[in-house]
Amino acid sequence: MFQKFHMKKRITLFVIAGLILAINSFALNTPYPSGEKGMLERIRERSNVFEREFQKNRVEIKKIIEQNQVEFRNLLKNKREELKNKIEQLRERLRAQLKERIKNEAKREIVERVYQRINELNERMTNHYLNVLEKLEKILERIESRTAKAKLNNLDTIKVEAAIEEAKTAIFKAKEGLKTQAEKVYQPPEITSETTLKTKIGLLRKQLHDDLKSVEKLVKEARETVRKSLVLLAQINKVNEIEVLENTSVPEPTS
Amino acid sequence: MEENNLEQKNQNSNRAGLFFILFLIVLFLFLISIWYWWQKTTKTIKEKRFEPIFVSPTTILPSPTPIVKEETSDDRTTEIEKDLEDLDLLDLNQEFKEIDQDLDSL
Repeated sequence: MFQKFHMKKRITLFVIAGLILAINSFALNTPYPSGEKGMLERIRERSNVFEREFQKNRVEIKKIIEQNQVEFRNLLKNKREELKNKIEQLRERLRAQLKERIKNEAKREIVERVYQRINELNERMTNHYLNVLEKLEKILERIESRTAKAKLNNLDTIKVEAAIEEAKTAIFKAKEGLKTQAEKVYQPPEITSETTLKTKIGLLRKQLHDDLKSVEKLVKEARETVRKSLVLLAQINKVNEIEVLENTSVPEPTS
Repeated sequence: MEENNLEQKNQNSNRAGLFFILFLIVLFLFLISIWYWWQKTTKTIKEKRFEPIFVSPTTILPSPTPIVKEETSDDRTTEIEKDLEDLDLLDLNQEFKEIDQDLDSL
């Protein structure tokens, strides 16, 4: 009798432990709502997602995108603060060299101003490109949302999905390029004589222009990939008319 | 004589057992009544705590469902296209205009 009781107790404990393990493993397999998951990834392998859940996910995704953007901006801001001192030191060095080697005061002022403008323009343009990329990220989220709706309505979205992935990669690459550019410090040229002044400053200007052109190219590519995914999405028949199903089911009355 | 004593002892122990059981029953009922009283009191407090309070007309209460209907309509391709077209990349050469003017005067 006593042994039977112990046996039952052991079985109960075993069952409870098994249940705990099963719940844990289920929790591990459940997708974690992290920032990397877009709407398409969230609805993958789901036959049905109702409007309420869909909208909840969209709100969550938008929030994550904004959070990531704020983090990225803060990262750049901190880096720029660090660089400010370095730029100031370089300006001082340039000023000293100019004072020592260039007699024309007007020319000295121009060179100083150009060097300052070069650094300012770099900051202004990288900020502008960042704004564009952030807008593209938000636009792409909207494209992805509509694509997910189409997919949930059993429409063919394979091409759009591939284009969205391409756009995500392009935006990521552009952001990386932009980060590198924003962290750049332009070294003033070694001032030797008045005759070479224009050429040397001209080379510095060209360097900035070429660098910004490279970033602009990446941003343009990102915009084109986003446009491509939008064009492919718009080609789906009546894509703007479809919506996610509203959950109209009512709980069955209990007898 | 001894038998009488034994009987007396048995009766005494039976009575003690009976009293003990009665004591347990009383204790149980006492605890139940305390629990009942506690439940009733806390329920009243809870209800009082959530009594409707006056809300000024300007106060905006948070909606229990934060999902806004606007969220559903911003993903139409026509609207997206418009926003995409509005993206301006600026003319880089134009941005270099001031620098170029300075360079020309060197």
